[in-house]
Amino acid sequence: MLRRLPLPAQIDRTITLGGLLASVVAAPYIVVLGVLFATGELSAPEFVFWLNAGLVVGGALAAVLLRHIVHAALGLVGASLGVAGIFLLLASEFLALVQVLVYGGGVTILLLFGLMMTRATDGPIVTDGAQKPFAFGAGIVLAGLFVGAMLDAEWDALNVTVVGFRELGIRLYRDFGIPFEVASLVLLVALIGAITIARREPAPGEDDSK
Amino acid sequence: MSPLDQLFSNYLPVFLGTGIGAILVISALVGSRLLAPYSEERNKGTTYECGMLPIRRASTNVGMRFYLYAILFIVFDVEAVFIFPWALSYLAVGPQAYWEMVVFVGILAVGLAYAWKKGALRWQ
Amino acid sequence: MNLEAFHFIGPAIVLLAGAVLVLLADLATGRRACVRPLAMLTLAAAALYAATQAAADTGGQAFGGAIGVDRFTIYVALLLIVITAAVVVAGEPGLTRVAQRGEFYALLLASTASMMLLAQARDLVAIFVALETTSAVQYILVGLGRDARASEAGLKYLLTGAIAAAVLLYGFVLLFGIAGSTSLADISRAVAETGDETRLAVVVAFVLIAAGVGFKMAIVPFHAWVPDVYQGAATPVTVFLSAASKAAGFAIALRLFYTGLGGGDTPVSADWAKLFGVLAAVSMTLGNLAAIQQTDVKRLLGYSSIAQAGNIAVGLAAVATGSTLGPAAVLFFLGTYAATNLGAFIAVIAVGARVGSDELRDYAGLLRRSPGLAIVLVLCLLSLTGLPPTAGFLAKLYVFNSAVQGGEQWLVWLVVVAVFNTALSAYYYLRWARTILLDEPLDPAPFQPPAATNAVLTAAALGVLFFGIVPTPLIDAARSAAAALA
Repeated sequence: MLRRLPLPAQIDRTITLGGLLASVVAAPYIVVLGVLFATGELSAPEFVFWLNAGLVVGGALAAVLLRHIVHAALGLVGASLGVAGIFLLLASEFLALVQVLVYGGGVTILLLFGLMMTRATDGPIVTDGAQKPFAFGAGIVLAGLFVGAMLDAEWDALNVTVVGFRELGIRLYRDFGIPFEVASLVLLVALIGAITIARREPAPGEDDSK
Repeated sequence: MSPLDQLFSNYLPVFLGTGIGAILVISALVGSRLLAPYSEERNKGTTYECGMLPIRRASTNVGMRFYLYAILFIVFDVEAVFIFPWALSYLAVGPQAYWEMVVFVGILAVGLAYAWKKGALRWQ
Repeated sequence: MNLEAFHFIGPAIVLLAGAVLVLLADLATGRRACVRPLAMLTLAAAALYAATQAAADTGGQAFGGAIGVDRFTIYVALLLIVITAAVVVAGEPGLTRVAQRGEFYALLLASTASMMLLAQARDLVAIFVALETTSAVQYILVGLGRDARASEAGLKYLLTGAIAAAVLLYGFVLLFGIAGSTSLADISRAVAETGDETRLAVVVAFVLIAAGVGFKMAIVPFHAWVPDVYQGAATPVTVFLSAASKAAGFAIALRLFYTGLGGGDTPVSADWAKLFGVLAAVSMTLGNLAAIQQTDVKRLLGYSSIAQAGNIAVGLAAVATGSTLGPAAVLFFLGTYAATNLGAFIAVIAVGARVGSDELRDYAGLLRRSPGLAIVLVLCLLSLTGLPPTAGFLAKLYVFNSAVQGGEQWLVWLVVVAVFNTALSAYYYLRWARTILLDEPLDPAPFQPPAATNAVLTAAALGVLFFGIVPTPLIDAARSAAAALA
């Protein structure tokens, strides 16, 4: 006889929910894209673009809407990876690399440490206030303005050209030397700030499990 | 083949790998959920499935030290990112690029010295 | 690359080197005594450098046009150095809540340097990086105090500042998309040539940019952080924010809108002039109405600085083809406002160090307790109100005149609103002055502020009076600085 080996109920619920969401929203989206791609309606770059766009929008929505803060951070990782894919489509290899290395990796880790440092729980946290509808409205208006402005305008920066690391380096280190040096100053300041503000924390060994 | 197509074909394996990886993980999770035996019982959700009930959450606050390490990591992560295009272009740009990187690394070294002196690197 | 390029950003390099030296000196010696003189020395060297640049009338661009130097940048640089020097000299009594003096002075110098670079930047990338450095330093400065209020202020400043930076970046991205270049000169050309179908994109871009820099200028509706941050930060940091950061915000607004969006010479400028007109009117009215209700002097000065930002923004709204009257008035106002605000805030530091609180009622009878301090403070309050013979009166006169000269009907109405607001502001400034002069002191013991504070207070008072009676040197400098913008 098979002994029933169960999963913990909580993990199970998460997987069920995720599976449900995937099957209701993500899977049809991917299937539709796949069909359009197979029938030749979408070119390969367009197919990849729409996949990445879905990842960005889905990840961003997850980051904003999910109650569990670690899940929200995972959504953010998804969104930044999607942005990296879009940078690649725009032939910006360097930016894609930065996006994955710095945002997908470093900044997310920093964010997670920051969250875990300030909150004793990893459970759901209610962060919605009375301003939620206003924030929602402002977001919609801003998005509408962007879309309107972008659809109307004539864009001068639309030509996608491949810029290699070498050409990028030449531009960066010849013409943008000052912003480059100032960027190191930002990093220095961030380091100093983190250390000076961290030093006010209670000494190690004190009760930090409140 | 245009440079753009060249770039895309370079990344085709990355794209395929990502896709296959996602499919593998999803199918493994879904498959085990469908095929493996599984219990709905409430106590299965507790920490040891038996014995005493835990009285508070297992997660605690992470110490400030971790945050400092994460900041240090980001700082040198960004430095590393800037060194890639620099390594490929400093011959073309000339001495200017060399000195720019020296100043850049020098400023970050001041930060490292600061962190060191203030004891941020010591694990207590 | 040649040495001239480094000569152009010389004062900023001096300040940055000084900041690193201060930090290392503090690390190496652990003695706090040496950092303040070192900071003063650095500021003196930078001021000397900027003064030689001014004397030689240095001008030109470097780093592929990303950085430039002209009379405008030198004017802003000198203004910023004077403000920072006053904070370093007279700020010490207000730093009781700040333990890390080495970091404080190093960050102060670094912030000043990045604001100077900000004024010199002529490229969106350089502008954004310099602006973010300035902001990052200020978040830390605000959070340096050792209590919950400072932490709260720092966090609020950081959160609102991060959103402002994102909004500014959206605007920059739209401008880059329109022009295909990040250089302000190219953007100016592209914007002048755009057709009707791109107009919405341009308008959205400048509205977002106005929001981003409006945060730095602290104009309504981007002002929500001001009262809490001004109150929670250590008072010397508040002085720095209210004088230097505001000046840098207006400087970069002038640069972006006059150089990047064509000054009075493009159709777009009529649009953003109206935007600033509305923001100015709302800032003045809301700032003054809120200031009337305050009992904490730092909050009162915070709301007053919002209202004053509205006054300055009238000069931004007053664009006219081929005229730089508006920017000149803005720069003159910034100079006199720095002197006035420094005087008022440093008096607040002196009283706060003695009394241990910043409540309005603790100023009762200050005239009898510390006559010199009281007279300077009252003089600064008169200047903030805009009464002759102080510099504040002339500053308002120049700004309002530039608006009336603009020749548009709505600008005249804006001036009417501004004059009405001056009357409104007189209520709370003069109420404070009356408390100082006439009320019975709660604690009649006389006291004397430290010598360094007295020196800066005297200088501020002399500045307020001198530029109120003999404005010619400053207005000439402001005019030639504004002429360099176009």
